[in-house]
Order: sequence, then C-alpha cells, then structure tokens
Amino acid sequence: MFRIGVLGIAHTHGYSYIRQIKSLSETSVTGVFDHDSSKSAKTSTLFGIERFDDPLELIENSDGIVVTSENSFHRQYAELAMNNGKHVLCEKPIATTEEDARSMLQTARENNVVFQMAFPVRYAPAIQQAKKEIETGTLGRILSVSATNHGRMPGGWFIDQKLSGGGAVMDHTVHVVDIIRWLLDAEIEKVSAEYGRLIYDIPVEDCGLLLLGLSNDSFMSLDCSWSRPEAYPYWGDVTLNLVGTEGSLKISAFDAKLRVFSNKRGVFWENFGDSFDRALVKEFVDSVVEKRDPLTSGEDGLEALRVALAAYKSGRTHEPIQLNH
Amino acid sequence: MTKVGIIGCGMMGKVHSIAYSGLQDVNVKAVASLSRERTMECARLTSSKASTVEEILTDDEIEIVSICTPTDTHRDLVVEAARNRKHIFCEKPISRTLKDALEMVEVCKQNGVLLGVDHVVRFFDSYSRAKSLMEDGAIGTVVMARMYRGGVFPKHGWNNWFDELARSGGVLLDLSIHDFDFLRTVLGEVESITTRSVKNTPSHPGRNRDHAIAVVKFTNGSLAHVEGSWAEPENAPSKFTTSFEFVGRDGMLTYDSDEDFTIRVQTASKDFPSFSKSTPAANDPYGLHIQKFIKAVREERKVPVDGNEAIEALKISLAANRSAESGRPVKLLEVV
Repeated sequence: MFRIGVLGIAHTHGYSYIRQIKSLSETSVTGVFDHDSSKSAKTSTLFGIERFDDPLELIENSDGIVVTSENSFHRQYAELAMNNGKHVLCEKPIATTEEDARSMLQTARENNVVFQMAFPVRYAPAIQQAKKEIETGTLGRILSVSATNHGRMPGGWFIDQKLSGGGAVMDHTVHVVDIIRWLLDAEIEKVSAEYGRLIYDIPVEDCGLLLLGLSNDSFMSLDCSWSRPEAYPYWGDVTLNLVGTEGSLKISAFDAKLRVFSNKRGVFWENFGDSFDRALVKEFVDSVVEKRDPLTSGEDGLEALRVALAAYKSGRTHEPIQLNH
Repeated sequence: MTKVGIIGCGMMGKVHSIAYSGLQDVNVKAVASLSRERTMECARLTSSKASTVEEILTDDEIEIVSICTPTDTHRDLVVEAARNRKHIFCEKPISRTLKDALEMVEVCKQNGVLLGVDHVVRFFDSYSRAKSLMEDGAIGTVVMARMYRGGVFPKHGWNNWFDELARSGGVLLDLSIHDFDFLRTVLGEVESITTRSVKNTPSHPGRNRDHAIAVVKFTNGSLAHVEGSWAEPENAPSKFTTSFEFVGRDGMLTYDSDEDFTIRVQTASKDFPSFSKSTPAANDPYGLHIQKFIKAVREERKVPVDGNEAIEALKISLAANRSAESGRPVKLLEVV
C-alpha cells in the first residue's frame, strides 16, 4: 500500500485528490496537515482521515506527499518532504517564483525522488486522443492554437498576491501551456499579454489574454480569465482550437455533460466524463513503483510557470518577452 | 422606383442581387463584371441586363451603384461612380489602404453623394439582438469579448484574389474586419492590437490558407480576442461558422452558429453545400442594410455605416496586419 499524506489543503483540488487516493486499491491517505488548523480539521472530518499538527510527523508516516497548500508555500512543503526522501505530487503552479521552482527541481534531483506536477488535464482522455491524432499526422503541421481556461473568480487566498503569486494569469496559464508543450512537442519562445481587473474590485487581475509564439513557428492564444459569471451553469472550461495544414481539431475537455434543469437544484451541467484526477494520482504511484519520470514532471511545472511570469512582464512593459531554452 | 447598378458579379454581387430582388420600390437596372457567365447569372437573378461599368456609370436613371469587386479595385470604381453622381453602396472592406479610403470619402463628399459600406454583421439578428441586450444592461458593463469567424478558404475569388495579401489583406482585413467593426459598436475605440497570422509566418505553408488571432485592447480598458480562419479543410462539412462571447460585470452572453441554429440539412449531393446549419429569418441582413441605405438616400440622411466608420474598422485591420508582420503590439494611432 502506497501511503500518501496531504500537506496543505488550501486548494480545493486537494479534496478531489483525496477522493481518488481513497478510491484506488493501491493507495491510502495517511492524513492531512495545514498551517491553518481549521482547514485540516474540516478536511479530517469531511473524509474521515487523520489530522496532523506536525508536518514532519505526517511526512514520516507517508511514502508520498501531495502539496495543495497556497502557491507561495509549495516550495517549503515540497522540499521538506523531498529532503525526508518522500515523493511529491505538487499542485499547480509549481511555485510563485522561478527561483523557488528551480530550487524544488534541484532538491528533487538531490534526493532522487519523484516530483510530479498536478496538471490533470494532460491525463484527460480527449487530450490523450488529440496527442495520437497529432502524432499520426492526420492534421498535418499545426499552425495555430486558440485556447481558453476560463473559471469563476475563486476569491479567498487566490486573490492575495502574497499567497497566490497573482490572479487569473497565474492561476489559469499553466494548465493549457503544459498541454500544448506536450501535444506539439514545442517550447513557448515569445510571450505577449494583456490583462487587467476588468470585472471585479479585487487586488489581482481577473481577465487575461496571452499571445504566444512557439518553437515550431506556430502560434497560440490563451484566454485565462476568471470570466464565468456566478449564473453560469458550470465552473469553467478548458478548450482548444487547433488548426493544422491538413485539418483542424477542437477540444472542450469538460464538455462530457448533461444539462440539468432541476426545480430543486436549479440549472447545472453534470459532468459524466472520466476523472482526470484519478489518472493523475495513478501516475504518481506508477512512476514511483516503476522508478521513472512522471508524465507531468517538475520541469514541466517550471516551463509553464516561466510563461505565466513572462506574461506579467509583457503586461507591465507592453512588449513581447523572449524565453530562452 | 430607385434604379440600381451592380458592379462585380462574384459571390457578393450575387448576394446583393438576391437582396435587391427581395426589396420593394427598388429595381436593379444593369449589372456588370469581368465574367460573362457570372454577369448573366446576376442579370437573371435581378431580371436586369448584362451591361458594362461605363454604361452603368453614365446611365442617368441609375441612382445607386453597388460595388462588389475585389477590395483593391474599390477606390477607382467608387471615385469614378462618385464623379458620375452615383450614391455608392460598397462591399467591405472599404479599401485595401487607408490612403484609398480617405480619398474615396473625400471624393464622395465633394460630389455630394452618399457612401455606405456593407459591414453587414451589424444587421444579423443574432448580433443586433446581442447588442441591444447589452445596451439594456443585461450583463452589466461589457469588459471582454471573444469573436470567431471562419471556415474554408474562399476559392471563388476572381483570379484567386483572396490569396493575395496585397489585394485582400488576408483574413485580418477581409474577414475579421466584420468583428472589429461590430466590436467598435459595443466597446468603442481601439487603443492597440497584437496579432499573429499564418500568412505572416515565415514558414507559411503555401497558398490558399490563412488563419489569424488578434488580442485587442480598447481605450476603455476592455479586451477582445478575435480569431479569423480560412484554414479549415476544403471538404469539412461546416464551410463557415461564427461565434461570439461577451463578458460583462454582471453576466455573459454567447452565440455559436455551429450550436445555435434552427435548421440542419445533410444531403448526398457533391455540390456545395451538402451540409448546412442555419437560422432562416424574414429579414435578410443584406436586404435590411440596403433598405436602410436606400432610405437614407431618399431622405438625404446619414447612412447606416458610412465611410468614416468603415475607415475606423479598416484602421484596426491595418494595425492588425502590421502587428502580425512585426510581432509587436501596434497602437491604432500609428496607423495614419
């Protein structure tokens, strides 16, 4: 049995990971720690798992650690686990600074542990299918991608710059950048961005549009806005429109949906698709057992973060930012 | 009875022919184009005669001339028509260059004729209803937009002029100008634009293909994403689709012609189109626009979309093309 501890439970994605860890036959949850004991108490009650007051004690009793703390704590918790020889599955973004991210990669290497990024969308069946379509060449050479990762404005620590590292750009750039780097086997070389506080009166940006140049001479745009209103029947989306020389491909990763009109529960969409998080957690265990790099690695986390950070720089300077590889 | 002449009998000449023949009190008297076959087709549709440009422009009975020729020929024809005291209903874009457009507007003014430019998207029910909803405050102050317009490459152009950047300006000038124009009516003036286009990519893959993405910043701070495509595979069942999404501080509204339609037809026919999705309506948007233009001519009033508005839309497209070439954001003020 592979025992997984949850270090920090600020990000609600953590709830989903706990559910999946509990449901897989080869994994179990050791328990949960959070520097805010009310959060760990709530999670402990919700899932019937042990609450730890000492992060080291949780780490010592676990084989792997899931870090779902606030973004700015990722490095501290991930490195604590790694330095104690534990494998780490880290929530996105990897960190809030490039320096933190590089340090985490170094620490993982020194301790020879698996360092996986939680980029669950890469495990989505539609994305896996798209990879096959692209590799078989049915679309020809990909020329352009327009992508969205919309969501609702999350509030809480997500809009506290010190804890999150930024707003919509920091929150919603990395998923899609990760997918595209993998699908097209290309790096992001040029980043232009426009963003702003357009909808809400909050301390960070809620809307953003990125325009990126790729190493294979294609280009892509990404709408990372927290622009789904409260009245929207779903939390948001991940969509791609890929245009190739021989064909085009559209993805709406969360559109495996039923439209529900309930007098009791209102109007909502029920997703019946496979859980991406299940495949993500399974990959964590498999990569540890098989002693190999995970599909979504810490390096992928760093590259995605660099794009988000370059977007902020471009927004400030109104110039395209060049990324070296 | 207002008498009309149509110059240019390609795809748009045919669309204008159909629109005019659906209107009361208007009569197409003559049509002209470089293609005998296409001219005959428009003459048949309008029960008019196949004619020549010179005959149309010197016919004293003809009050209005529709210009439906390739973009880079608009200036010469519009200037000539204006000097012959014809009111002009010109297909979009107004012209290929800003210099041409400024001259066209000036010559029309000097000769006391009206110039209308067919930014027809404003007259599509889906777009006009969205606009009135937004004006009624249904989604609060509008701060963001996503526009898509595209499909297969338009191979029907005379001598394939759509593929010549110097003639058509590519998707950003020929196609996305519809969305730029509509966005202006919702979000106001543009401050700057950042774009990428396949046509301007160093490794551009040959002919008959363009695809572009524009990130637009408006002077009021709002943002828009505009995507235009002539890159869908030729045999794709959907030949052309449009969609939009407007985000306001109090909600959002969306439309997608691929998802929101009232009739779908699939046939075994090999002829275009063997598959279609559409929403038939009493109002043909082209007819609606032409009708309003004719009313403006009769009552000597401001036309629905005049040359100056068309110039503002053109400037956005020109800035977009400049950004696609340089890879840098271009301010609209730089386009002079």
